[in-house]
Amino acid sequence: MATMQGSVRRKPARWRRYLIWYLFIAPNIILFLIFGLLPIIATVLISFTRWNILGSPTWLGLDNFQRLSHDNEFWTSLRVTGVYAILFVLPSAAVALGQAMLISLAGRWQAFFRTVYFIPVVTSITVIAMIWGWLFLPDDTGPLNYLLGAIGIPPQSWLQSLNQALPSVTLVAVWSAVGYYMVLWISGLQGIPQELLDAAMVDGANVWTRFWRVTLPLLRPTTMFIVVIGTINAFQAFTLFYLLTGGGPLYNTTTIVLFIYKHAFRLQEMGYASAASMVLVVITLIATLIQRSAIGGWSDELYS
Amino acid sequence: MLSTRMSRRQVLKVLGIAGTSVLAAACAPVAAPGAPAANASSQSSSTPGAAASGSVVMWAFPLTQNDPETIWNPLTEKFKKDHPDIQVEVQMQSWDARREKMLAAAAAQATPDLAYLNNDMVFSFAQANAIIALDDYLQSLSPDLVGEYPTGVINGLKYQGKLMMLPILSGAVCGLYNKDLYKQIGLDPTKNPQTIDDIKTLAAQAKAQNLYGFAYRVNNLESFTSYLYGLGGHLLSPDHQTSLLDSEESVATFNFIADLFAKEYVPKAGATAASDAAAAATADYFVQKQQVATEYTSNMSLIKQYQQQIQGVDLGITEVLKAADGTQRSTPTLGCLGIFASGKNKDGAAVWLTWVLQPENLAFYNTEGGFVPPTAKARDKWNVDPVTKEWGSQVEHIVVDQDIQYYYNNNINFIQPVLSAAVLGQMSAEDAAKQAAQQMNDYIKQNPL
Repeated sequence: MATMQGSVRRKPARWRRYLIWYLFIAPNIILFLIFGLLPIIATVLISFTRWNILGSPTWLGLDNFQRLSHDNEFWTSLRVTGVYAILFVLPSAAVALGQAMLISLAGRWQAFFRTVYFIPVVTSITVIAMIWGWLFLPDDTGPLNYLLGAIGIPPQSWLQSLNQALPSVTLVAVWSAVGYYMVLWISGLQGIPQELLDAAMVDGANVWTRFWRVTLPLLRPTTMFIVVIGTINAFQAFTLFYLLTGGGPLYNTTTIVLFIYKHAFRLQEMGYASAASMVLVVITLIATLIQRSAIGGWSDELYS
Repeated sequence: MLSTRMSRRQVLKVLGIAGTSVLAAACAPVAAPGAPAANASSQSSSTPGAAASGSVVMWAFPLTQNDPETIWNPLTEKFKKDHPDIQVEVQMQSWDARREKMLAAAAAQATPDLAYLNNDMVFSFAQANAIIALDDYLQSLSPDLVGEYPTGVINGLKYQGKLMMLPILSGAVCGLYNKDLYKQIGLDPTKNPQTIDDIKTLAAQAKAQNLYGFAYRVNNLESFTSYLYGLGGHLLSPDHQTSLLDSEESVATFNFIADLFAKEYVPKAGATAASDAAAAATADYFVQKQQVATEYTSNMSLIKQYQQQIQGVDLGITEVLKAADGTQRSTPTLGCLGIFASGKNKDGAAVWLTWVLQPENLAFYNTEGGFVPPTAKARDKWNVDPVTKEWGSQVEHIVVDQDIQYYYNNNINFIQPVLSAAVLGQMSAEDAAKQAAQQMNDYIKQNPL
């Protein structure tokens, strides 16, 4: 017994064994806590107060949330954001996938086309807004209207139209973002084993069947990522709307983030803006969970 | 082999330790927002500012292509000769989102010693103790300085009877008009439009010649208030508790502006809410296409710029619009200097402030910067061309009252969306005015001063 006890090596304390791992993850965790979690906690607390950023906060309880429930502008901004998300995510994803598939056929021109389609992604959003703002000028001298006039279509109001403003801004957003999603699709396509596609071809599957039955199901992880990220980006839309329309005409392009910005920094209603931010977080979370469930269910159906 | 598995308990333990230490650091005692910083230097001698020394940091915003070279280096070098113990550093900031930046800096008590501020910031900054009163410093360092400013302006810069900032530049909303186009329109180029009726005549006659009398931008509050004052209206009641955007005069203003667009008296591009696109498009009509006869602005640097861009064209200045009772009132552009409560060297900042605002230096600043000196003594030394001098004379019509002091900049958030809808024919001008008033009243109720 004494021999057995004497021959057992003492293991170092657990915390010492894992210390190196703690040290590696600590910076990330600390940064997340400072710049991620603490601001979130602060926003939650501020959402129950009235605070103009300079004075001291005044506790209001649920008043800000009650006020939101009666605020037409808030509900309009939610509607605008929801419509924008649908108009943005599906076309962006579809166009990007189409571009990715065409590029895969481009042979030695692949790098060239990838670069060209990616240029809008790395272009300053302010420059994009200024150029498209000029293209969308509402009178006869606007370039788009000039081109339409050449084929007999009367000038359009574009960003000044209640019906056209949101689709116009969405068009710009899709144009500027599609290169990013295209790169993600390319990466996903490259992960599909060629043998599966060859096997399907040997079995008599045509192009569409190969795409629908082989390619698309295998792109499920990429699809889920693009749809979720695209939706989150859509819910956070701000810059283009701020620069192109300022939220008009008549709040028809006021996204929820533009609403939050206006109340936080122009009207100095930090509490009210924080309450709206909380609602946005909840909506984004619900949308993400729904998408995960839907895309997962769709994929299972294809395999069944 | 070393096991890399951690149990859930261990992970939670790590996160808890890291989070607790971060929260403990974050909860270190700091001054409450708006309270003067605990270690801020206060008036340290019986004669405020008398023993000032050390470095002073000031935030300024660009008025020219190269403010440090043309304005601040000459001023700071001259100042150094008069006050060798004080070193002034002027840090240029961007105009974009400057109010938000200033608010954030004040809230974080990370402000410079002094900065260029605007008159509509007086109440919110003073109420939160973010800026200090200047009375004691002025009494000690330059007792005659305040007397050089118009009383109406000084009263508008006070909070609870104390003077919180002093103007370094000013401007009235006037029009720069193209006399050649006026002749083409059939108007006497020596007589500029002085009332709303004159404006209507100008617009109609210009339209008949396929020109525009002037441009209008719906996101520009100064343009709106110019017409509102020209029609005898106000933004707020005298006690600043009620919005007057649904008053008869205001509804008339909404109608007038909607009419301008309905009859195509002004370029359509100005109906959009986005500021850059609208400004660029409408300025283009005045400068490049020369289809707009008058460009209204309070920004003298734009006037200088237009004078350079439209060469060989005779330009004149329109006066501030007259209301029916003959009164002339302009929304002021008043750039001011104020000293932050959390600044590290308030004494030095006060010496620099009072020095810069002396007539000779004020004249230099405005000559180079392209604005109007706010004092008559400085205007006597102001070295500019006759057109600009004429524009400068209009600052005597500047009034600072409840319209400008309270909620001024908040008004545009409620006016602009509905005004844009009205000019685009998406709602009536009356409904637009009523909605703007209701939203402004809701805002005042939610944010009492």
